Amino acid sequence: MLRVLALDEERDPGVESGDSVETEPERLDPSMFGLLYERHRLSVYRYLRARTRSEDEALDLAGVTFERALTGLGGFRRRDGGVQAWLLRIARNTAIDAHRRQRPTVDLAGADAQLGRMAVEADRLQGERGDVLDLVARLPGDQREALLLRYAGGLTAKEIGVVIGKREGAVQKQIERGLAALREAF
Amino acid sequence: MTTHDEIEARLLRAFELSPSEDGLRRLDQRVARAIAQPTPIPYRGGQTRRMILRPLLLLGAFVLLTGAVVGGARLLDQIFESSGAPGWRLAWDRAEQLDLTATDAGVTITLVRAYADLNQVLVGFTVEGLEPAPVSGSGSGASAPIEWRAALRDPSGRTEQEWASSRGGTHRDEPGLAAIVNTWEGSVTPMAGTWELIFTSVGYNSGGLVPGECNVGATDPQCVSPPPSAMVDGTWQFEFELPAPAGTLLSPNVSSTQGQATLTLTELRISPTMITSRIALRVADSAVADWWPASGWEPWVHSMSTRHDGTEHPGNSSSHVTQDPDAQGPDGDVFEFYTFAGVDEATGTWEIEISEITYRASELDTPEQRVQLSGPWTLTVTVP
Repeated sequence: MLRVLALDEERDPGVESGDSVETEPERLDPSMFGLLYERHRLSVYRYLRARTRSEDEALDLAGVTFERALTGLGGFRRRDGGVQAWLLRIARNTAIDAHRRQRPTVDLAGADAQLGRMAVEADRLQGERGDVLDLVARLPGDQREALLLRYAGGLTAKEIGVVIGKREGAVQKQIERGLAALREAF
Repeated sequence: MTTHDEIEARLLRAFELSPSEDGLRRLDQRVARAIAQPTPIPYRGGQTRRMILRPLLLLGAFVLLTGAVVGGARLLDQIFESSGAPGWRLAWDRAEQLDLTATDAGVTITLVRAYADLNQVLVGFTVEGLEPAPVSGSGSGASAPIEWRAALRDPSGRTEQEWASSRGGTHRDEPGLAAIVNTWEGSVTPMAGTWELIFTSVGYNSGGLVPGECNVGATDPQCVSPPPSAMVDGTWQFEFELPAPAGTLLSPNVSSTQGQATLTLTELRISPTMITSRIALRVADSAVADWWPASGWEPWVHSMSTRHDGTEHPGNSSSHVTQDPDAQGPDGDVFEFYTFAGVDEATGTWEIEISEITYRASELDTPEQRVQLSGPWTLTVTVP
């Protein structure tokens, strides 16, 4: 069995990982998946939680993400950016698909949705955290996505580039612009 | 002056969100079940299917209790008064008044109204006698969503699985009382007759959560096979008459080609509450696993227009029909597009125009696999 990753703790999205992509296996197989899941579940959840309105929704999308990943293990290639970038790319597509294919019911329930947003916002708008999330939400799409993948997902600029299809330098610029905008806002 | 490092630290703190213990346990169990499958379950657009099968689960997390006790009919009215979908309100206004009641296991379900046209069946019902909804573990104070299981059978004897391509719904709750509206959307049998709706379970938590540690790899039988949920099982059976569903169903099979890409309108269903178009994309010399009528992959820009004798009918939602690429026919990958309003009179010229398309060749895509195409593709149908 191939060694996958250091397994003693979940990767902290906020800390640059000591594991380089080069130490990861070229391919994955199902026997590794439980360990892979435990290692990355938190970063996947945090990224999805930052994109969604509730814990339940983020957990549901995280479940779909790992189900997709399990099914698509054969499609993983280390050269595509490593395990975490691969998982967050699946998570991002899952979140986009979910938004894109929301059934009318979500929008139909006008008052419910509005009340729900208020409830969720009330939950999230707690002190500094709420302020920061609110400011990030107002950033242009590219900057917002780069910051979410960097600080919620824990990816490097190079890995983010793989996820969103941009060059590392371009991603770094988006991150810098986003941080500059936040600095102005603060 | 806020420094760069301080901003990064604030961002890290803001995103440092962890799920509740219950939530993480549910996720662990779900992934453990997926891993425990003898072979991986082929992905079939699971999110879409989940959104269809469990709409109330998601919506329920966003419902606030209003406090004041009002009747179920009043709660149903509130749902439609607040709805942003004209077709939904029209369906409720034109629905048959039924007021049928069934009681089992201490729970009373009242089927208040029902409606059918060629695009959807809508029912509004109330549930009384359930234990109060528990608070979810998300910390938001939201109540657990009401869930229910029921089978709908049309006058020709078909189950909803045979004709409904999607489900939708919403609800409102008060202590001891819930009002629910549900739709089954798809090719409704165009005949008058007796419909049957049988509920078999209703409650506020079907999760079947197991206390204790049930993380990935746990072999405790309780973790592998969670105990039955807290749902109330019973039989609440209703039969009701509905008139012939209104609407027009066409299978035009008209196509439009630009470059390598061909769009085919395989079905157009026009009814008073909704307009549904099924459109397939085929690209010469390329597989299509997924596509979208927009420039780019983000969902909020539609480059699609549906016009009827010059009147625009904006598209509001969609459903991926051929989620399994192997199930595609000769026309390619099929999407179903919906509007939130319909028309009573379908005669005239219908024109669907899509100006841009983005598609990808495989489900687990990489950015470089996404292909953008420019049209326009115009699909025209005349209804005599």
